[in-house]
Amino acid sequence: MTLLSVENLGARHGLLQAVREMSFEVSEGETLALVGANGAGKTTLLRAIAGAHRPSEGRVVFDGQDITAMPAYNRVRRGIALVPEGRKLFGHMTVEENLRVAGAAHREGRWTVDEVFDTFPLLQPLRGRKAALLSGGEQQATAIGRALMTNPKLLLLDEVSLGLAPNVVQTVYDSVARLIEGGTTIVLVEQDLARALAVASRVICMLEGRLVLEGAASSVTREQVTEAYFGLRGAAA
Amino acid sequence: MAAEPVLAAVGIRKRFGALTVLDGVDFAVPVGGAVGIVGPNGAGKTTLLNVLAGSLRADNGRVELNGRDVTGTRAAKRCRLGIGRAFQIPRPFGDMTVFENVLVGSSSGGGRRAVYPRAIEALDLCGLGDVANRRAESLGLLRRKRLELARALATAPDILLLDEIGGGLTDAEADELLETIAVLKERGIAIVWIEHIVHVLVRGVTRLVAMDQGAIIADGAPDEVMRDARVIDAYLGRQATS
Repeated sequence: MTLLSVENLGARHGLLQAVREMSFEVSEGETLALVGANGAGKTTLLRAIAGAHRPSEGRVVFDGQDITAMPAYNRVRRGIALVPEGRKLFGHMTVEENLRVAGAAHREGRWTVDEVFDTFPLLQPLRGRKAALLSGGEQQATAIGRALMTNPKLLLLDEVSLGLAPNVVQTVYDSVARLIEGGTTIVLVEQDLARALAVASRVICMLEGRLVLEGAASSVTREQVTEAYFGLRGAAA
Repeated sequence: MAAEPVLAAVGIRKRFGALTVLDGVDFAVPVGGAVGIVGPNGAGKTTLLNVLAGSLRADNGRVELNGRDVTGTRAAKRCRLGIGRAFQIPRPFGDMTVFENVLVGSSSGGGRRAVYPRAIEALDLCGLGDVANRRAESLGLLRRKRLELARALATAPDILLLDEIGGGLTDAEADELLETIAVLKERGIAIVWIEHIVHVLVRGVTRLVAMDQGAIIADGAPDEVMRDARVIDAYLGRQATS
């Protein structure tokens, strides 16, 4: 069943058209990876889905309802959670407080503070620590946990591996894999193509705001992605 | 490469705290050469450009302009000595006219003579002649980018540093930008161009340098560099061995 439908979406940053004529659907339980170079529009698209960036054209339909004009906090209540690039935790609040803030969205579901600590055992001993004092990996786990506390139907992950040591990235992605196994629908932005293809069921490549490649993660080749990514024909020939 | 470099950087190192952003970079541009720099986010491209322009001091290494050591020379002086720069996000003086904006450029570099003619020439070269008397804030994105270029050009540079000027343009606009760049090259102005829009960049330069994690990982003909497995790995992550 289609959970998210993005229809002819456009979004601008002032004079800059960051997203152009984007249309795609995400089915329930699916994991979609958005890849593309810096400035391709991935983050803007994700933020437009979350309600953090107002689109200039097009529609966003979630769970059968047009949410294009819906504010972000209402989208959270409907079941969309964004883990933003750079984590954006409340630095002066503890790990547990960061989680509880999101729990106030009052969506029914399985996620509780203890459930998050079960999923991210590294956070358990840090529950009373201020978020600003955490390492990058700990912050990322907290940010994902915070999003999960809203019991989302759709989880949006923006570059969760950015700035993390390789072994920490692995830990974060292990937890993402568990969420996928548990049936969470995910749209993720990821620079590391191998990682994106390993975890996703479908991949969309963006170039200068447009969709230039779409396919099953298992069937898309590295050559196809390279060509789409740089906009070069035969780049990886 | 026998040609005398117009700009050369030798052994450039730059750290921000614990992070090494440039790890001993050697980089030279021959007179009239057009070199593109690509690399993933955080590769050190803009930092290198800042070191070349003099807006950032390197921890180690030397920068030479036309054979002269300018390592300790500030950005404004380097501009007078022949380094022009156009930024990613055009920030014109909004309440000044397009002409006045370019006049700021021609007054900041290229000597005290012919300040007005140089401004007018830069406007014409960048296709802004018909909007010279409009307030800069009324311009759309393409014209703002052209103005950014014109302002740098008006300083009469020997070398132009371009930082992501191709973003957000339509294909037709990108073609126009490339035509302007071609004119600059014909005039013997050397170019260093950082650009994420790779398919535009490879049409505007004759040599491509790829950076990753503060080092140069490939240097050569644009199509060869973009086919280099190390470059693709740097962008897309290492290929999974399966």
